[in-house]
Formats: sequence, C-alpha cells, structure tokens
Amino acid sequence: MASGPVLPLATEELYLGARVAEPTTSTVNVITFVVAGETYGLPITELREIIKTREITEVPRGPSFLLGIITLRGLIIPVLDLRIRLRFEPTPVTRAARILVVGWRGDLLGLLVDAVTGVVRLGADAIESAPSTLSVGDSHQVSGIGRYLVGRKTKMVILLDLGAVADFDIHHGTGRRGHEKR
Amino acid sequence: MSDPRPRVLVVDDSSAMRGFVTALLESDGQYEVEEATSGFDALRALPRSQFALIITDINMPDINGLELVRFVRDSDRHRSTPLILISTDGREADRERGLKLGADAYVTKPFSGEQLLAAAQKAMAARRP
Amino acid sequence: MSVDGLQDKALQEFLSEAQEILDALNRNLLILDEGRREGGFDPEVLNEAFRAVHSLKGLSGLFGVNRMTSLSHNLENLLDSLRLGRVELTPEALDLLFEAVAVFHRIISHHADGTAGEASQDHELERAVEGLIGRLDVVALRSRPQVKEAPFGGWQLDPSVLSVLTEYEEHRLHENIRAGRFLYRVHCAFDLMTIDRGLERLKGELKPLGEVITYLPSTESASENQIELDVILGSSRPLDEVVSAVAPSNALVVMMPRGEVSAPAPVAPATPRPSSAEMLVDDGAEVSLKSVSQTVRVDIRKLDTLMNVVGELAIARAGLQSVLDVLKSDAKQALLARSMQQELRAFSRRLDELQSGILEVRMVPLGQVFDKLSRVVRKISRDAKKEIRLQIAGADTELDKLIVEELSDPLMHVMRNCIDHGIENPATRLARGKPEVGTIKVSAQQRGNHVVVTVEDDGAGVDAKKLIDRAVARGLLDAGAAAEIGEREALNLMFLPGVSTKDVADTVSGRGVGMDVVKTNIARLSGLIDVETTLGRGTRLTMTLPITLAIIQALVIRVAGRTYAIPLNSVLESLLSTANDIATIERREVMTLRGSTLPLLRLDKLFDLERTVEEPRRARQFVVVVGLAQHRVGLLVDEMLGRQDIVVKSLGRFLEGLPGVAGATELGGKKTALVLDVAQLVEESFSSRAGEAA
Repeated sequence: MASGPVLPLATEELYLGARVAEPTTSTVNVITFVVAGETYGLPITELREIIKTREITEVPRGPSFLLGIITLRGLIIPVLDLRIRLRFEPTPVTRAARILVVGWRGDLLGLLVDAVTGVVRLGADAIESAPSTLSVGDSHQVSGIGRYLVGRKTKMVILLDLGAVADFDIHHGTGRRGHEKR
Repeated sequence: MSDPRPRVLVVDDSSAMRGFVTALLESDGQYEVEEATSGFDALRALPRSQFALIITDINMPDINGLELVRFVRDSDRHRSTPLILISTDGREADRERGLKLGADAYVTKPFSGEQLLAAAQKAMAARRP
Repeated sequence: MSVDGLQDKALQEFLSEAQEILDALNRNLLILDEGRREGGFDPEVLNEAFRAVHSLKGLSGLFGVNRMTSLSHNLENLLDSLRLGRVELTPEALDLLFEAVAVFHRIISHHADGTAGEASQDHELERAVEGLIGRLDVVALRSRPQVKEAPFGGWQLDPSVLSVLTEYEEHRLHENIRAGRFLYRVHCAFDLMTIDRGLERLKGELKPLGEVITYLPSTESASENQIELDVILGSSRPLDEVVSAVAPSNALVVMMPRGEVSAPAPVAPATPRPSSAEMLVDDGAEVSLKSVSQTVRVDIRKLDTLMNVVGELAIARAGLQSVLDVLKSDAKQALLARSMQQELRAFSRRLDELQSGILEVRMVPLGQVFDKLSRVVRKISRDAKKEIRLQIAGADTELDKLIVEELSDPLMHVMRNCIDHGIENPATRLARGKPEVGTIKVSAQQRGNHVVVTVEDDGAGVDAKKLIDRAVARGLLDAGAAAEIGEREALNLMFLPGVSTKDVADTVSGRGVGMDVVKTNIARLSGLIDVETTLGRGTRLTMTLPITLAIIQALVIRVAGRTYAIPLNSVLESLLSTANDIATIERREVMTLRGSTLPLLRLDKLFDLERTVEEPRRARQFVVVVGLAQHRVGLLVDEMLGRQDIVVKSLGRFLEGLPGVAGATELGGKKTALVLDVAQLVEESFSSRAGEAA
C-alpha cells in the first residue's frame, strides 16, 4: 500500500522545489493533474516546466488535438489538448488550466490540462496496470493506476504513457477544430 | 611578471597529440606548456623564452623534427635544453638520427603519461649542469 | 583534471580530427587515382596520404581505438612502401586504400554513436578489419627487388645535410637524382613575424620548378628576429630560371657541388618505370589541399545558439524602435529622441553586420558532399560493373551547413539511380555508339537566393511510357488519365512511390531507393526537383534549394485573422485585386498578369481557416505572387503587414512534415507566426482544390 506526502501545488516555483532526486529503489514521483474531471499523472522526470496558458498559434491542417505551437525561450513547442487527445470532449478553459511542458526522447511537447494538483510519491507496489475496461478515455495511452493516501482517504491517479501520448501522426485527423480559439 | 614554473615547448602538427601532451604535463600544475604547430612555429617560439624542456615530433612536413633538433643544438640559447623526441613505431632509423643529433630521450607512439614523464625526467637529468 | 576526464574531452577531439584526416586522405586518394590513370602521380600527394594514416595511427593508439590502430599500422606500411618506391601503385593497391577509408569511417561512426561495445556490430567490424589487413599484407609483400641506391650520382652532399634527412626525405633525394634533376640550395631569410606569408610566397615560387626535398633552418642568422632557411630543391630547370623564379623572395640560389657525373646525362629522363613516373606540376597548377590550420571546427549547435541570440537581438531592436517612436511623439523629448535615433542607427548597422557574419559562418562549400559522392560513385559503379566518370563543377558554391548535410543522402540516391538505371553497361554503350565510359556531371550554381544543383548523365534517358505503365500497374494512375497525360507530368511520375525502383533485386545494391524519398528530402529543405530527359541520350535532374533556412527577409501577411510570413526571396511581386480580375478556368481560379495566366491559391481555403464575423472575405484582396524556379502562383491574402527579418525556427520533430509550413518565427511583440513553405504551396496549387473556384 502506498503512502506519500501530497504537496499542494500553486505555483511553478513550488513545483520546482518539490523536484526531489529519484530514489534508486522503487518509488516514483508523479505530477498529478486533472483532465476531464479525472486525476492523471506523469513521472516528474518527464516534466520540464509548467506554464500558464498563453496565446497559442494555430497550425493548419493538423489533427484536432493539436492546438498549435508556442515559443518558449526561442524554441518552438507543439501544444496538445490532452482532453481531446485522451478522447474527451473539451470544455472551456479556466484560469486553473496549465500547459505541462514535457520532454520525450529529447523533444519538447506541451500538454494542456484543466488543472495541476500536486506531486505524489508512489511506491512501485502501489501501481497496478489498468484494466482494459476502465473508462479513462483512450486506454492505450495509460500505463497504469496508482493509489495514494490523503489523510485517511485513498485516491487514484491514472498514469499516462508519455510515449503513447506523444506518438501521433501529423497527417491524421485533419479537419476543423470544434472548440473555441483563445 | 615571470612564471616560476618551468616552461615546456611541445612541437607536433597534430592538434590532438599536442592537446594530449599538454594536458598531461599541465595536470599536476608542475609545468607550463607552450604549443607549436609546426617546425616553423617552433622557430618562432624559441627566441622568445627559455625552455626547460622541448618535446618534438619527428615526422612533420617542411621542417622535420630532426632539423629542429639540429637547430636547437646549434643555437646558443638552447643548446643545453633537454630534448625529447616523439617517434613512431617502425621508424627506428629516424629516431637514431635524432638521438645522434643531440636529442636526450624519446617516447614511441602510443605512449602513456607515465612514459612521457619518465622520459622528461631522464632528459632533464641528462642535461643537469 | 583526472586522466579520465581529459580522455573524454580529448576523445571527442580525436573523433573530430580523425574525421578531418579521413576526408583529406580520401581527397588524396582520388587525386592519386586520377593521376595513375593518366600515367603518373604526384609523390607529394602520396606522402600526404602516408602522413595522414601515420597521424591516425598515432592518435588512435593514444585513445585505445585498437582496431583503428592495427588497421592504420598495416596501411601505413603499405603506404610507406609505396612512397619509398618499393611497391607499385596498382589499381588493386588503390582499391585497398579506398576500402580502408570506408572501414575507418565505420570505426569512427561506431565510436561516435556509442555502439562501440555492442557485440554484433563489433564482431562484424572486427571481421571486416581483419580481412582488410590480410589483403593489405599480401600487396605490401609484393615488393619489387630493391634498387640499389646509386651513391648520389656524383652530387656532393654535405653530411650535415644528410644527417637531418628523414628516411623518406632521403628516398625523395635519390628519386630526384635518378630522374636526372639538378640539386639546388636556395637560401632565404625571413622575418620571424611574417614568416608564414614569406614562406607561402617562396613555396609558390618553388612548386612549379620541381620538388622541395627539405627545409633546413640555419642558426647563423643576422638577428634574433630573423630566421634563415636553406631549401634543398630538385629541379630540371637551369640555374638562371630558378634564380629568376625566386627573385621576388630575395633568395640566393646555388647549385649543389658536383663531381664527375658517371650516370647518364641528367637531361635525359631515367628509364621510365611506369609506376614511379612522376608528374611534375610544371604549369603551376595547384594540387590544392586546403591547409587545415586555417579553419576552425565549429559545432553547428553553437552556431544555432548564436543565431538565436542574434534573432533575439533583432527583436530587441524592434522593441527599441517602438520606444523611440513613443519618444518622438513627445515634443519635449525631441533632443533625446534624436540622440537615441542616432545610437539606434549605429546599433542597427552593427547588428546587420553581425547577422551576415554569422550567416556566412554557417555557409560551407558543397565540395564536402561532392567528395563523399566520388567515393560512393566509385563503389557503386564497380558493383554495377559499369565505367563511370564523375565530373564536378561548382564545388565552391556555398550553402548553409545544415542544408549541405541534408543534401548528401538525396544526392547519393540520385547517383545510385543514375548508375543503376541511367548509365548503360559498357557493351550496350558501345553498341549505341557512345563512349564506353559513362559521364555523370554534377554541378552547383548560385542563382540569387537559391542554389541550383544539377546531376546530368549521358545514359539511356527516362522512358516516359514505361513510367506511365508502371504507375498504372501500381494503381497510382488510372487508364483514362494515362491516355491524356503530358510529357512533363509523365516524367514527374517518377517521384511517386514505387515507380522508380527496380522490380527485382538484380544488383548488389538491391531494389534501389525510390525517387519519392529524394523528393521528400528535397522538399523538407524547401527545395524543388525537376527532371528533363532525352530518350537514348541522357537525363538531367535539377534541384533548386534555398541558400539558408536561418535568418531571412520575409513578407508578413494576414489571412482570416492569422498572421503568416512568406520568405521574401520567393516573392516576385504583390498587387491588389478585385473580384473582376479573377477568372475561372476548368474550375481553377486564375488571373491574367501581363498577358500570362497566373494560377491563384486561397490560403484561407487551403488551410481550412474559419472566418469570423469580423474578418469576412473582402472584395478587394492582395495577391502575393510567389515563385520558385519557373513556377508561379498568386496567394490571396487579406492584408500585407510589411517586411521583416525573421529567424526561421524548426517546428520540431512532432510537426515535421506539416504540409505548407516551413517553420515558425517570433515576430515583434511575442507573437509567433508560421512561415510558409512556398515550394509546397506551389506544388499544391497544381493538385489541390484550393485553387478551385469557390
């Protein structure tokens, strides 16, 4: 059974402070965030930055989950709407929304999420693989389910497989985007 | 303001080789190294300083190491400077000539740091007044 | 610094230097090959090759790249025997040398990408190296009977001179004597400060005369700041010619003393031994091997970083300009505004210089790629059993380093195609009245902001009919369209996947790489590729590439509320149009421009851009006429926002291949805009619906 301090996350600075060195034994620090009402997570080692939403430059004829690109310190980073990517219906973006800048195989990618909730440490024994019937949207992008305690309550975090999320074909899914531009 | 550390002149047309030798010599902070990229470059460097040791490759284009050895031994300023040759396996004839012309010691490529330092000791001991 | 620490850093330098040495070695081998075919070769080139391998041996030994050391060792032996005249320079020997270069490359890549240590790769490489060493030894052992060195043919050589000659230099001395040349001693003094220049000049004067055997520095110089040199020269020219040749360097010339000459008269050349016949470069033609020490090796990533910084500076400049504008609007600040204006102007000038300077640094000559090409052509033509002559022009033409690197693969594929499909085998060629040896001409030329690279062969040409049949067979073209297809379009079928490869692997190289891959690669560089052919006579492929993808001037436009940048070098002109100017021909929108028809492209339609109520399509629109090579298209846009310098940034791996977009850039005010790929848009205008009438 897992345990782990939940560090409330209000700002980028706090997150940076929470980045602890990965212990060599089997625990993993996971950054948790909300997508379509559910809590998801990614290993913190894959996270590079968290930024507030900003103007995203649209990119023509891309897949529907590709919102566009942003420039971060001179680098062009594509931004995906994680809600659409995980096959949910997107909802209007609130002030709590953030873009997670993650790194995959040396390239950066931005993921738009509804909110970022915190950093959680999970022991390896607290993670199990996701049952295929789980209604988490697109299950092949999920690598497992983790559980952790908050006080006396057990909470669940759906762990994403970043490789699967990042594996998309630019030529697929052309067409209009149905939601609002910012 | 003069540097009290002994100065070494390293002559070789290969930059990686020069870099290697320089790094070895400077690693303990014992020596200060000046690099010359060719025989001509060495000729330019020689009048400017007093060297405690000269290390030169033999096979260089234009002015080869042998000519440099002879030049050094003929000059007033450097005739007693310890001199080490960097020679190549299989090129004994050239090396023998170099020793006959007045080089004090040699190392054969590939050589280790220890071998170089040992040759340096030998050369400097040979020339101690 | 620990020995380990310095080993890592030095290892990188080693790999880098080893690569350079290999490149130079490759060039030398090509020159030797050429020379051998024409009856002689320049011994200096052979010596350079020897020295190159010698350096590689020493270096690799230092860093424990044992495979390279042992290969270099054997190779060095062979080259030594070759340069000392003990072994003949046969085509077989040269082949081995070329093979060795290829194996060296493999070893370097092996270490560079860290696969060193991976068992299977290691094993295979090991075998390749061992096999090669075995064959090298066989050739090296075939030494000719040692020719007894004649005792200097009567020339009286100072023992002090002889004692400082290396074995090789002594051999060269004997060769010169054997060839019946005169030995001269050229004495020259140089100022230590300017010795490099003085030396270059003297070398230039001496090279056409014959061969310099060695340089002897003399200690009996007039002053501490001077160096005196004695140069031993072997030349067949008479004394007065030598004297006048070196007069500009103020050199003194003396012929070496000579006793009774017992050997045959020096004027007649010695009995020609075909392989040691030497080519005197009499007309001063330069066998130019660029001096490595004149260049600095730079990591392209550092250049990218610099480019970014310059780009940011350009944006900052725009920001300063806006501040200046505000200042100017305040009458009370007129004086301050004026000073700032002056400073800003000076700053701008320097920034522009910096920008061009960095762009220039990124430019490298295409020759880099062409060298690799020669080696590849040689190999492929051997495998295909065809005789090919490669002619190269314009190797000096410069392109952005990144483009040059990306160009080598497509060029090689094109070569392969040329050799496999284009050039016929010798028997067929003769039967057709063509010379047995096929010719492939590669040339590069700068045209404005583009470089045009052409590959032309005198082979069989492309049979358009066959292409059409192929395309139909693969379902890429239906019979109806096939019947109506024009010549040019038919030729362009070769760029469809599956059309240009062979059906059966009948050569060692397999089915070959399709021309569609080539086209994709060229398109990725925002270039175009075209083909012309005459059946039976030959084919010409033309690739048009932008010089740089880095900082460019762009035209900023707006369509349906979105901002885009169009590279200015592709913009031919712009005009305002009304609905009346636009006509429809066969469902495509066009307009007439100075008598010719200009196809039009609506960006909002092509990009599927929604228009909001505030940005309706207007009656009057701007037409930006863009072109690349001979193709033109008019882009319909809402607004023209002016010209700007931009730094084109790559979209990154995830968005690679996004059609119509070449990259992105940051305009002033932190706005990110897309940069359009004119080449692709031009392509699309021929095929997509976006050109069709609404």
